[in-house]
Amino acid sequence: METERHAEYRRFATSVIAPRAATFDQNQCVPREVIHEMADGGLLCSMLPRPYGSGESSVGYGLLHEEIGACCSSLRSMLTVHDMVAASIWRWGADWQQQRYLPALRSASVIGAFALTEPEAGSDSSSISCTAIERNGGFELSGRKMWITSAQIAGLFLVFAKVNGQHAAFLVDRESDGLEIAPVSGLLGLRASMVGELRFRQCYVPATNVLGSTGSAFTHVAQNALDLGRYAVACGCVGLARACAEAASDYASQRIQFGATIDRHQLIRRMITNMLVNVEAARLLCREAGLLRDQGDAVSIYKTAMAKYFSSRVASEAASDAVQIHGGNGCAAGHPVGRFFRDAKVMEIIEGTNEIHQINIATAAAALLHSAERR
Amino acid sequence: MTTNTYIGDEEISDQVRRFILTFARRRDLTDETDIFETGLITSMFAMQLLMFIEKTFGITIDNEDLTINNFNTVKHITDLLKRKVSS
Repeated sequence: METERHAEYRRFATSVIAPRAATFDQNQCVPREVIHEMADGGLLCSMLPRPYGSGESSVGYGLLHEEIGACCSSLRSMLTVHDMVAASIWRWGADWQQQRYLPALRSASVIGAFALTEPEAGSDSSSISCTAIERNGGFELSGRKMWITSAQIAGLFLVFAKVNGQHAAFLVDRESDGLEIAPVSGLLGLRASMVGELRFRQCYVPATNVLGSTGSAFTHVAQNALDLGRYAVACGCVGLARACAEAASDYASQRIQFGATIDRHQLIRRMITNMLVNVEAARLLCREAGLLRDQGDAVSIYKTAMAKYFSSRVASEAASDAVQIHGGNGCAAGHPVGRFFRDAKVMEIIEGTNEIHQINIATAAAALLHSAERR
Repeated sequence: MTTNTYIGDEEISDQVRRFILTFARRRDLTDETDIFETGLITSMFAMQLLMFIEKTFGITIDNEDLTINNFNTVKHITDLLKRKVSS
């Protein structure tokens, strides 16, 4: 069953997304109809149970992100944040919130975006300064959110702000009074992911649009969503690294220098071998994290962090070597490795920087080693 | 253990304490130690704790349960679990 789905994910990615990925990057835009094509293929909110999703397993969800990540990291990133919003509503939302928003997210009649990061609160995301003041049966949001994927086209934002110093989560419609959205362009990587800045000027949100309970929004609503995001990015990096290996291997098998294809040269072979081995290792880490997620095992959270940390490094190294193997061609348009290189660097920063993961994973050393002993 | 059949208070406390100690690694952890204020755990721990509780004791943590005071000490967690398991 999983193999059939994997084949469908690959088919969709290679036939629908791959031929257009370079154009998305060049234009810094993913057309809305592509999101709808994904929705028509049942690829949005797939991890939610029916009827809101496909009931996809975590392992299967990871394979989806690997396949899309191999073609277009920008689109995969947009899928990630969309699903983070859907997963949050599923886990913490009232029945009426689920009924109102989940079918719309599933069908892409509404595109979701996750708004936690601020100009002065990146890695230190608990120190957000966006405020929500109770007023007139709701809340007035004030502050800014930065680097918000899909902000340019999202219809629903999951926004985190503080109510009397306590974290709260709000479902904010795009058309809300007091919400301004400014596009951010010229990014190094994920250029087509429709990133924007949100500016809240006493933006009114009804009390019924609070998600979950005040006080637990950061520890539970945000962390649960970020955990899903980390897993998706980790699996996407496996795809990206695989794409680098494929591109490098193909190029090296055709490029002739010194009377032979360059894949005959040992130093090229070393780089390709490292890519292949690291892709396999990263995939196994992701798979283990996926299996543990499906079992509801608490250690899965750190396994996911490990997968993200390792896979993003693998993708970055693979992309760098892929450009190196392509030589001058790797630095010019017409070969995808330049885009892979730029996208891979961003992967080491989003969903927790490498440095943050290095700090956090070590705190769970005893638990992770104990987990290893049990297997 | 993934059942919500009756288990004693002491067993609940022991399981919770063992889980926290795996991450906090603090030998002087008492049932009243505030695990969040002491900074011994990361921001990811709250979700880990929730997953552990739901899987181990076979219960679902609802939104109304999600107050920091329900999860910040071994005693408070145990009290929450006693209420959820008995209901």
